[in-house]
Amino acid sequence: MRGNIAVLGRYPGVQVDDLRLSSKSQGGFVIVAVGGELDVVTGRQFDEYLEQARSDHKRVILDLSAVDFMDTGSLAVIVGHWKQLTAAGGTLVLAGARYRYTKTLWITGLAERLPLYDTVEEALAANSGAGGIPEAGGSAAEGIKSA
Amino acid sequence: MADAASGGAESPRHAAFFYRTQAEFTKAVLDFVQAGVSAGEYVLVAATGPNLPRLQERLDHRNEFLTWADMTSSGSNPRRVTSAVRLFAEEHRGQPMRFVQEPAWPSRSAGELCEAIRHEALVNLALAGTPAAVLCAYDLRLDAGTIMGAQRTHPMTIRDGRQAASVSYAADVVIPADCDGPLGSPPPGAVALTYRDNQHEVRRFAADYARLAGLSPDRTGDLVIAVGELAGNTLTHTSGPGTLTMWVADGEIICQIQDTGQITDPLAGTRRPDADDPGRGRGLWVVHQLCDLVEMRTGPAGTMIRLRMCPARRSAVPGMTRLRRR
Repeated sequence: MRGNIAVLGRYPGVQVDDLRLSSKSQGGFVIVAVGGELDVVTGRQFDEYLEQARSDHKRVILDLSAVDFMDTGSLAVIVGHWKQLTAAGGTLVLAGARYRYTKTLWITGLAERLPLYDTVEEALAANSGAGGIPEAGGSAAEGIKSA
Repeated sequence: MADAASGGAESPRHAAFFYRTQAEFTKAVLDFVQAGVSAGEYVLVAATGPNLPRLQERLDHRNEFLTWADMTSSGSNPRRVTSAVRLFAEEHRGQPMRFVQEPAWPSRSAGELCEAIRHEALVNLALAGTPAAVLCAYDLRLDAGTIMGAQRTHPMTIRDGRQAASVSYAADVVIPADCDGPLGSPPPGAVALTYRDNQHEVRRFAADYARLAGLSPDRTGDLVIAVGELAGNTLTHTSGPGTLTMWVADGEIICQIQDTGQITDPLAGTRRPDADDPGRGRGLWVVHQLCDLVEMRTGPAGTMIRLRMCPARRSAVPGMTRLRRR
């Protein structure tokens, strides 16, 4: 596994094999952008990155618009984080998943259980002003913006 | 014809119905379905493409108790039918249900017929604890091996209007020996790649070969998903390498994955993943949804799975993943 660390946002972005991960804060959410292929090899890094992003954010948008492949293991990772976040009163939504590259979401029927949006902008607009939990340790400027 | 009425709660009543004429087939299936509907039971009808309209026009096919599936497309991979039946039983949990299917027809390939008989051996297991009546229609023009396989996998047979216990029935998920043999060797000219951590490479290899062999981009994507799930399972569930072998035969693209693992659950791949139980290991279910035919052989020495994709066919998804009522 090669590591190619590039700081692209609040958390260090990482590239492992064919996976690119980065994050940024916007609209009271942390937007985790995933690029490349999510499989058994890259899935562990993905899981850890999401765990880290979740550690001080309760509202997460997973931007999957640059994902080219996603297996059931990675889907299970997403569902696991979604369940934990939701149980803790938080939010995890998916944005930009392309049917052609993330078909497993639809074949399994999970596309109808998980909150899906076509774009990050739509996800932000649909979930803004709901009054989420302020980020722990965040600065005032990164607090929840009301609608 | 004696109606295979709903059985008790313990095991489903599972009958093989042998017929000679279209009229015989139609009457038996209609009687079976109507008996179920009259009793307020949910009925799943999995018929071949040509027979579906023949049946639907004779039934109130908009009846909410009826669910229809096309065996020639959605049912091309028999294990997909097994998982559809499980899904159907879960959706109507605890309530009496009926399932009628055409698992075999004379133009099916030997490999498909084998898998169809293997699926029959699993039906009782798949429906364990469900009050269910199952009717499986077999055309007597089928080869002797398939007829025999049907007799071995069904506790009851119906023929010429008479219902009887099947004397050659082997209880408890025993797959007839001639449907349980090894899959045979790849032909000369097959290409192979060993893999373990190089998951991206094995998917790329499968994609390139399939496209060269004439599979559409969409269906190549499906094959790559299936290969990815299986190759990923090698990494997750075994400590050794796997081998991907591909070749073309009889107008089909065949993709074989072999590793040292053993699949011990006879119903592996028949349970749809869901949000309440996302658990790993559902990849096999996805594989069965996407491929035209999946043949699996597994044992202590390892597992061999063959995926078949026919470029002339269209994808069966979402066919059996969402059963439709009409």
